[in-house]
Amino acid sequence: MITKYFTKVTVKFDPFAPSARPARLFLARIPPSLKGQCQINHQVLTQSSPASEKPIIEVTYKDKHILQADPAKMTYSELQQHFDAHSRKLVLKDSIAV
Amino acid sequence: MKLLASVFGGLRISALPKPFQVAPRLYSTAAASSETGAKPFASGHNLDSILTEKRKTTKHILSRKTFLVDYYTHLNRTNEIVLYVHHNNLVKTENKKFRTELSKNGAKLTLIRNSIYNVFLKSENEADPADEQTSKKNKDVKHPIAPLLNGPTAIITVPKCEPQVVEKILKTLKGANEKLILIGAKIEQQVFNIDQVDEFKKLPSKEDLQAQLLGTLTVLGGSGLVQVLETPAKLLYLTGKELVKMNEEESD
Repeated sequence: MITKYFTKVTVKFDPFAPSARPARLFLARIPPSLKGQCQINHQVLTQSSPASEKPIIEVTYKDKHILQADPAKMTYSELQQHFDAHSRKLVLKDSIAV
Repeated sequence: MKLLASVFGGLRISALPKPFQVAPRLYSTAAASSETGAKPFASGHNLDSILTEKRKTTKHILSRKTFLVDYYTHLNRTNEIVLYVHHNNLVKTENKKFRTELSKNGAKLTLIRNSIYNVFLKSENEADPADEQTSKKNKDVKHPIAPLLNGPTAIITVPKCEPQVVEKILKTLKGANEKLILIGAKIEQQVFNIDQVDEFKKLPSKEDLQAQLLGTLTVLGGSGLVQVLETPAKLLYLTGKELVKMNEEESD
């Protein structure tokens, strides 16, 4: 996964639900070297948390573009493709600019 | 190895008293191991056969997998509180920092291998979770903790059930931000989610609660409590006496 264009990541997951797997794998794939530039927010949901709080993964890119994904409907590799789509655009932009 | 060789090397069947000679041998002699072709120790004894005769484990008894199942079993049986955390790419310094902070409170962080931990969970209440028959029997068991074993998982073990210790650990975890995320707990065999853990940490300790109960009982009950506790024994005695009397009257 291309993570170097991420500036903010928000992950909400319920650890007892099946949707926790892709969400937790996604969290684990963000390298510690990104510490300075990427802010990571997380929230652990429970059964008693309000209905408005749903499992979600939200990524803000360097160009302020925001992408969301629902971990309940996607596997980790699908999530990876979903977020890489915009990252690849930025990679291309970078390579043209130089 | 040296120690084992000296222990087994020093034992000779013929030197043992007679009743011990007929007992099943737990180790093979030098002659037997050369017949089977198994790799013998320097002293001529075979550790494999010594161990496998005692336990029949799914994986080899000296393998890391068997060791881990045994270790997880040990951790869960000697600790009353097990907190499950998601760990996120801990760098060396963070790892050291969290471990020292936790050990100050008597807790211990162990990164677990999910599938092996699941083997233990499935046969949690069996005598030997690593045993081949046991793990075959419990193959389809679904433990309530099992959903937590997805992605990088670690356990924090606390030997005594003390809510104050949990409160201190939760403070450490809060400072760790996304590096260590509490996802659930097992406290005295009960499965807790993070809301329940939050409630649990506010409770007074078990000793305090017992002292409170004792205090209330002495204040409210006093001598009355002693009477209440005595009544069943007294009643039994009186009924017995009555029966004896009735029997005597009938026989007369």
